[in-house]
Amino acid sequence: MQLTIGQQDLLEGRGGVAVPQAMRMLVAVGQAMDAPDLIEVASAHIVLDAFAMGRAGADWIASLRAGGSRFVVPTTINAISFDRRAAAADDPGNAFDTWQRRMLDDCEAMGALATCSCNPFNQGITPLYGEHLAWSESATTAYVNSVIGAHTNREGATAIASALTGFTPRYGMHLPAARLATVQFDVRCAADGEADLNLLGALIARQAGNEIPVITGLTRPTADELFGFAASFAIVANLPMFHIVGVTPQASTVAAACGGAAPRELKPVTAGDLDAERARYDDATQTVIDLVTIGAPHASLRQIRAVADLIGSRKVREGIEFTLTTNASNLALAGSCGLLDRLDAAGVTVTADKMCFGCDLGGRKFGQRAVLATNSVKAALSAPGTRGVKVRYGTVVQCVEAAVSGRWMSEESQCS
Amino acid sequence: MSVAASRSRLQGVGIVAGEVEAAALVCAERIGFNLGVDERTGVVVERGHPLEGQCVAGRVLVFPGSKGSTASSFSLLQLASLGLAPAAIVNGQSDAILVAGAVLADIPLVHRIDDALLATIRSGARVRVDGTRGVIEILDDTCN
Repeated sequence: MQLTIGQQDLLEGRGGVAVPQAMRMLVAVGQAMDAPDLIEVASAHIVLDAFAMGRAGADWIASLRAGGSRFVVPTTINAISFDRRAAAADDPGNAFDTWQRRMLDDCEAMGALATCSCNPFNQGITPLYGEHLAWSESATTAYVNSVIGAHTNREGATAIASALTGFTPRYGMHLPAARLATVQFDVRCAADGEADLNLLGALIARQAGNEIPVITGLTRPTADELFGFAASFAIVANLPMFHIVGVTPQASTVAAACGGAAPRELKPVTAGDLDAERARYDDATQTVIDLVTIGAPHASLRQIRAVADLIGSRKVREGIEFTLTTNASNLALAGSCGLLDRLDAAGVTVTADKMCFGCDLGGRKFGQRAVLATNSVKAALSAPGTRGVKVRYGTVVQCVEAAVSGRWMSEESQCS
Repeated sequence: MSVAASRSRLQGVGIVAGEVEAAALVCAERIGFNLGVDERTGVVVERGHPLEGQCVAGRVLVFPGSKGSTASSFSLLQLASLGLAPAAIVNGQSDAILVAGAVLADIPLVHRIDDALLATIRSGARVRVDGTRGVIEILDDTCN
């Protein structure tokens, strides 16, 4: 790999202890992926999840700060394991909370912006078209490549190495040729709203294998729908990118998405495919609901407003726990707009910073018997494994009705 | 059979430096370290995985490549902090998540060994890994 004199200096230890290790990490990744060199990144988005990083991760982060390191590019932090507003009430014996607080403090001291969210771009920290980034968290990666048209690979610890050095190896999504689609999915049924778009993202990811797909036949989705699509796409496949014709900046046509070539294969998506995908998450044998969660990924202000409007003056049924997860800036805006008061009066719990995966999800109250209603494939996929719950998957309307009535209201498929 | 007679040598690409000699643990399936390997015990816990129930600690772990969550870099670091990391990793093709984890946890790593050759390494065989030169030597394959 070709390094500049400045990069060689960083590798050889003229920037403290942490920077040489970060450079070794980036160079090793570059060598493994045949990168010709390291390029500058405009920003980094780092995962700092105490559940995934544990004590060893927290100790490593502490060592970076102790060594005098700073993040040299704008750096945002992904969702964390607790809600900062509840920090004082946290169980001091909970090791994960202790590690999480230490990591957050250390990274803020090194210059990170504590967005604590999987969607910093809807908090006003928005990458620009064509920028090269080091962004971790699978859903944000897919979204910034596919919707914004910035360039990032799926990053893990490497995002922290890039935040410390300002560089990333030039491979994968940083190379125009690697971003081209090779397989086309033509949607031949109605696919509307967040629940359908979540399903579509998951089913296309499953069928795409290791190929970047280009998608046609979609009614123009909203930003919220696209982020839901990206999240379910990324959790099912390890793919960093998709193209939607007319949405993805480099995909004005199928040919443009494929670099002038024809796609290798055209796969139709039918109503039957969408129903089969829904059946993977939706346990139709369950009719009584205990828990409802909305906001995986973190709910936008519009999504918070939608829940408040749907529930209106009604209340969450006694015994049901309804959690809406969002980020701190949307939470603050929702407060200013009077939405939090309305949701509070209705009995909906709104949290910031953490994800539903970090919530108890009724575990203490219901043990393994709970039935969770959600409109998120990401939540539906993760909850049964990590929380032992059963899942009903559907629209936000179905989820809100379930919260009010305690029962799941079936809906005919809109596809024909 | 003498050790010398059974010795064979595989050339790959060295990614993380370091020389170790240990017993191999081999599988033909990808490994997802985050959630797939218990970071408190080093035991593979993914249901149905060919290595389910086996401990990766101290072994030369031979597998095609990693899969799953981007948090897997930190899973390797957590294993290493408890002395439960693999002694070395040998892959067909490593990805960025695994390479970053191997650097963090200081685990010698060699990749680009042909899948067919990877399959010739048997679990339990004594293997020497040179992460700088990218060389794997199978020292003694007479064990079972």
